[in-house]
Amino acid sequence: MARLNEKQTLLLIAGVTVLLCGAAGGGVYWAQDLIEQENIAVTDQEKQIAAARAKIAKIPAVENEVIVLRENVAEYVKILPQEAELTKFTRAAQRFAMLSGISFDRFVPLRPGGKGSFERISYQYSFDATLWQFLKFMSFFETYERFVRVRDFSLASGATKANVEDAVHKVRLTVETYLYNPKSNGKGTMIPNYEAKLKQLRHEIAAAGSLDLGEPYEFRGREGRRDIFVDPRQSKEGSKITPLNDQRRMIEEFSKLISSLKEKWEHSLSPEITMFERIELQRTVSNGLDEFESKASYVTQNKLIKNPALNARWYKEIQLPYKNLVAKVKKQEIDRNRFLPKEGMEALIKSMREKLLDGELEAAVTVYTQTANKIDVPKGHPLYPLRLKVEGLMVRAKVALEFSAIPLKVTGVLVRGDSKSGVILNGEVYEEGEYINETLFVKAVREDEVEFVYKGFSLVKTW
Amino acid sequence: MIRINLLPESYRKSERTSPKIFAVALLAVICVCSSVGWFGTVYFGDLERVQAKRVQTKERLDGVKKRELLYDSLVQEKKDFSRRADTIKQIAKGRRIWTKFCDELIDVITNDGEMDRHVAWFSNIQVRSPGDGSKGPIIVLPGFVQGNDIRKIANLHDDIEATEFWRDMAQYTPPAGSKKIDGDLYPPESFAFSWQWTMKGTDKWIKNTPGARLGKPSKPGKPSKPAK
Repeated sequence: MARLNEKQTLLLIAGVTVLLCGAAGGGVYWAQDLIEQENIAVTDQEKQIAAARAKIAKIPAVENEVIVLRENVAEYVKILPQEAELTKFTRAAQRFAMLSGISFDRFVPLRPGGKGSFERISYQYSFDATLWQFLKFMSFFETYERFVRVRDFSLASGATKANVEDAVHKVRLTVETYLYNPKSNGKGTMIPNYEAKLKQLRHEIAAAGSLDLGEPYEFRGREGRRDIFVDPRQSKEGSKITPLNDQRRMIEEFSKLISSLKEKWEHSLSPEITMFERIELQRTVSNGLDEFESKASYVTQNKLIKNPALNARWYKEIQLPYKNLVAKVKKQEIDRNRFLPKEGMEALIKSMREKLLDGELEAAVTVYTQTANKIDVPKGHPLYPLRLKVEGLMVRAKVALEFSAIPLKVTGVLVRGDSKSGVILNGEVYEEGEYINETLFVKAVREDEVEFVYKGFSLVKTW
Repeated sequence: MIRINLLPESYRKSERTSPKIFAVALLAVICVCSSVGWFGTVYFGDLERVQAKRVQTKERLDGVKKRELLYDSLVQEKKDFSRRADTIKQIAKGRRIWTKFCDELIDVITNDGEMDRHVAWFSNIQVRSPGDGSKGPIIVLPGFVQGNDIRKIANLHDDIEATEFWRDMAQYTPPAGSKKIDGDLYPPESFAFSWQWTMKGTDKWIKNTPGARLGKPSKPGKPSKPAK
């Protein structure tokens, strides 16, 4: 190979040097780019860490919110039936039907609906019923322990002629409820120390309250109202109808009568009248009610109030006040007959006291037993203090009877004025103040008697 | 001229690199070494340091990611339970006690036996609730008012409009009627009408608006076109 001359050598060295330096410079540039990328990645990761830490800081608060929500939803869904309860629901519907006096022509489930955790279950019932039976049936659903919503209903009048009583209508009722599926979105997040946190959050959970289903409503029943799906007009043919004005007049007369009885009754309760006046007034009311009942029964049995609209007035203005007054009079009579009068109570106390003093303990208990159900006046009743006295005497009599059954044979006493006296009882010596057993205590020893304390009562044994 | 060195190889004076070349070569070596050193410093020093930092940060990130996932899972569950709570509240809101509605309707129609204002009855009733709560139930009530006096229809409307359920009504049929005569009944005349009521959406019901429950008057509904 030909040797390079100096110039060529210099050129070669310079070329190689430039090449190598250039390669190193390129390498540095490439490495700097890598460093830049790494730095960007690090910065990005730092940002992610910061964001994650910000989220982590919120975990306790979110955990609390989740616990409150979980518990609230668990509380809310208690009103929904569980899947296994659908058959129970069907049985409940049958029970409602029986209690309402209807029988189903058809009951069919409708297409399920709803979304997510709640599946809608609907049933459609078809049946024949009077208006009152239908409303009672519907009310059973609306007051059922589980959530049931009446979605649709229809009632087609079954009255074939005007002014019929208890017309049977064609009814179709659709009710719906919801099934709750708690696992529809998978298993819940594991929250450590759940029970302890639950305890801490009980106020927040309670504050959310239960589901507001509105005021509970009970169907009021017929209450003398007419069926609004029946033409109330009177038929011209056939029946002999009391003219409307006569029906109205009849209601007004009965109304006056019952008002007068009511006034007398209220007057009889006034503290300003004497006992004799009270008895006389109450007797008048009682007789008046008997007479009223027989007259009103005549009207009802003969259907003298034929017009459905006036029937409602008859119920409201006559039957209802009559029932209320009868209830008041009966309650007073029951109270009067239920307890011994004051004089009776006092006589009982006197009799029991005498028997106790005479030592007729069993007779005192017998007297009490015979009258026990007539002295249990409630607290606050004017005779209550007398009841307490009677019961006190009864306790004494029972304690005395128990005491008399205890074998206590006194064979001698030693009475000393300067110190404690003693008694020889069942062959053993006891001093005053000494216990014979846990319930019996020697209180005092005298020459002809020994005084004991038994179950808190002082009892004296003489010989 | 050609100069020929005739001395044997061992006697010849040894050849020396020219100082120029030597200087240039030395400079080149210094430059190349510096360049390579610089590259080495950057590649094996700075880059590795940054890479190690990234690995370290990644480890830290992996550590917090697990807790972050827990947070995300909790947030998701919170959303899910909030949705469930809202759904069941909405379901509960949409429940109307129809027994109460019917009781009120019967009270108005029966009117305590008072016959002077109106005596009315219906041939049927249909209640349909739309699927969502945005629109309220629709009630169809064809009926009759006894007598020959259309003021009684107005009276009936007035009494109906005083009921509690009426406050939830969005649309209703204005007073209307067509005369019917049935010679077998007394009185033979009556006016037939057909009511169609549309209730407000469930969110606007009185029971679902706490302010209204306290007694604030609600906006009355609007009369719709008379039924044909």
